Amino acid sequence: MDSTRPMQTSSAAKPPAAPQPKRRVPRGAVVAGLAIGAAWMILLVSGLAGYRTGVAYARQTQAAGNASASQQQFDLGVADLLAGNYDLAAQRFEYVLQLDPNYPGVAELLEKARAGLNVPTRTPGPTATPITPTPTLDVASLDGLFEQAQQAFVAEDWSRTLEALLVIRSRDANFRREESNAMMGQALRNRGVARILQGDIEQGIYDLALAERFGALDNTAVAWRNSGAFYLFANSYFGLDWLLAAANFESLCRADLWDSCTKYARAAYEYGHLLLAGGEPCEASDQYAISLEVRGNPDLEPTATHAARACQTLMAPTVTRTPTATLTFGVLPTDTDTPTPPLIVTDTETPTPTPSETPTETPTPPG
Amino acid sequence: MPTNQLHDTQPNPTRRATTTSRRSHAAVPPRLAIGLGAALAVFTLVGSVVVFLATRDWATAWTVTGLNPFQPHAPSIAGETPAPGETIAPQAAMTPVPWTGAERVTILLMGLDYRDWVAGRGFPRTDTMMLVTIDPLTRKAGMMSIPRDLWVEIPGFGHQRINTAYPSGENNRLPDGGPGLAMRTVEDLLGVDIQYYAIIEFSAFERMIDEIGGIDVLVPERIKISPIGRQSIWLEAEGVHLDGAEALAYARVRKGAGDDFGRAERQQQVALAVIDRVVGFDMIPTLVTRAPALYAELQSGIQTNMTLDQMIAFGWMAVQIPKSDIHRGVIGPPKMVGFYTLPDGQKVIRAVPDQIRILRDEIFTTTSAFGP
Repeated sequence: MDSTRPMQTSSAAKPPAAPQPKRRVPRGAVVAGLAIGAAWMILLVSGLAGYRTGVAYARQTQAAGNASASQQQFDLGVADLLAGNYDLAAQRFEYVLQLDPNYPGVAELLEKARAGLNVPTRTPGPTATPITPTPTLDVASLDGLFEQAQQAFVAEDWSRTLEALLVIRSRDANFRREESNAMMGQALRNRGVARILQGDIEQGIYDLALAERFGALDNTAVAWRNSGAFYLFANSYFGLDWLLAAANFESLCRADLWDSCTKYARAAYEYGHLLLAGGEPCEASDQYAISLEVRGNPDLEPTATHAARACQTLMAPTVTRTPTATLTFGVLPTDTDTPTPPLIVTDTETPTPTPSETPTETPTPPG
Repeated sequence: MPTNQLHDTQPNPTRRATTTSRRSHAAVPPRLAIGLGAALAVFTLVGSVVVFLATRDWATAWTVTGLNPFQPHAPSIAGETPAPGETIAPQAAMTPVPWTGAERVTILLMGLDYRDWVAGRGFPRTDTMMLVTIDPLTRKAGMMSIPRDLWVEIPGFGHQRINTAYPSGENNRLPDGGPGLAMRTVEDLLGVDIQYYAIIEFSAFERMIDEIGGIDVLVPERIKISPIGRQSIWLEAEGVHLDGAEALAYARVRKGAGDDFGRAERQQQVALAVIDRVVGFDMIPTLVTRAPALYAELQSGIQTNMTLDQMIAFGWMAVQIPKSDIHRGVIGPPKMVGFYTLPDGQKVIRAVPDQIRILRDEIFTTTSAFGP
């Protein structure tokens, strides 16, 4: 017999079905859940607080470190400036400006250091080259990038122009290719000349080599490239062969290019020392005279006087020698494997190292 | 069915609740509940302190260095003479240089002079300088070795051997230290922009070579090498497999005085062999996966301004470039240098700018993305 049947048949007799009780979450579980939730919240808040504290601490440390580094480099820079180490001083002042563009007095000192190097300041005026961080390129669209390149070109910010054009090229090599090429070549040319003028000579020559891939360079750029190359050629003998160094720097010093006169004066008196040590006081005296004429040097004067007297003593029985510069620099002795670079200018006009000679004509960007 | 049986099968809700309540009380007695609560409170308290300190330190490291957040700060050892094999941290750290992914990457690789360490002469001179360059757009790369005795103008320090640039920058507390001055000196010499540097200490170099299972090189002529801590061995003129210590010895050995140029060739050969090994044995996925752990292990032996991400990105680019597109050269005789002896007897090498420019243009200019 089916055991369920009686139940079904007697359903009318059953008491009304009690409503199913709601499943109640035990109070202990609620409390435990809340406690665990609270614990997680506390941990989360601790993490956030730790993060914020860490960032604040790091920024504070960084600011303190920057201030300390600025102060240290500023002090060292002043010491270098006073000692005549203009290059080192300039490096330090540039660094201070990078950390704090408003650091008191550093711009003026940087200008003095650059003046000592005979390097034209990039922005003439009382404030020297505040190094401001350039905003990063907006790379959202190619058109936008091209527009930024054009704006940078107009503002004569050649590096930024090139950066923007390169990003375009990385994303679409054929995007406005001809206009990009024209702008790229011109920006490289202008940056190259600007770099040569400010003393970054090999960097400028490299830029011009890149610019030349887009087409022949103009005469001014070629002239500056030749002058720069000749300077570096002369410089390669500095400290190794004082005669050759003096001979080559003499030509550059006539045009007062970069620090060529300082180097010419140094090379001449170092060569003089060699002559004096070799028992040739008259030739040495001539070199000292040249050096003193180019750059006054109180420390050298006693040696020059000594050499002149020695020369007079030597020459006295025969003839009185006039201390004139007799070193002839007509034909330069050179290494057999090194062709003498062409001298300074192929252009009809000699470029002079003044800031006004920087590419004054700003080519209109295409597009 | 009897009624009582029916009642038994449908329990009274009230009775059930009472039972549950009793069970609940039975499962977690008040004392245990209090104990668990206290434990949770203690755990929360300790945990919150730990989390606070950990995130604070993490955020501090991340913000200050801008590098890998797990990279600890380099210890400051200014004024101390490092022990042999110990890498010197720069006094003024150089900040990492961002990279857009489009412009050419040029890295100055430097090795420091072991003998200066041994002699305790303070900041050591550079023993090796090699410029490595990769253009991501043209997919061409280059290597250029610079002899250590090259006579150059070091910015702010006059004419010196190029290997003194690093210690000059460190000793004079320049803003970006020895690496910065070395980079500027090479930039002035070659005209190319250098964004990154890496100083690789011997043990890190050996470990890297061992990590990839050694390298295979074709030894052009019989040569004797002296791996550190081992007996000297002769390598015959044939293809050989070298482990880390042997590869380092092979890259460092000079066959005789003035063999810097041959040594530079061997160093480039080792660099190419590393690429061959990584590509040939398809080790890139493994290396990329292992990179963070390797970096953590090797970072004390590598001083650089590259981030780990940048190192992986540059390495990835490098191994994808065919060997035929890797141009290489050594600044050396007969045309690029001249030999001189200073009055004090020191032998130095004069750079011939016009000739070096030809090599520079071959490696950098003709392979540049700046072209029509």
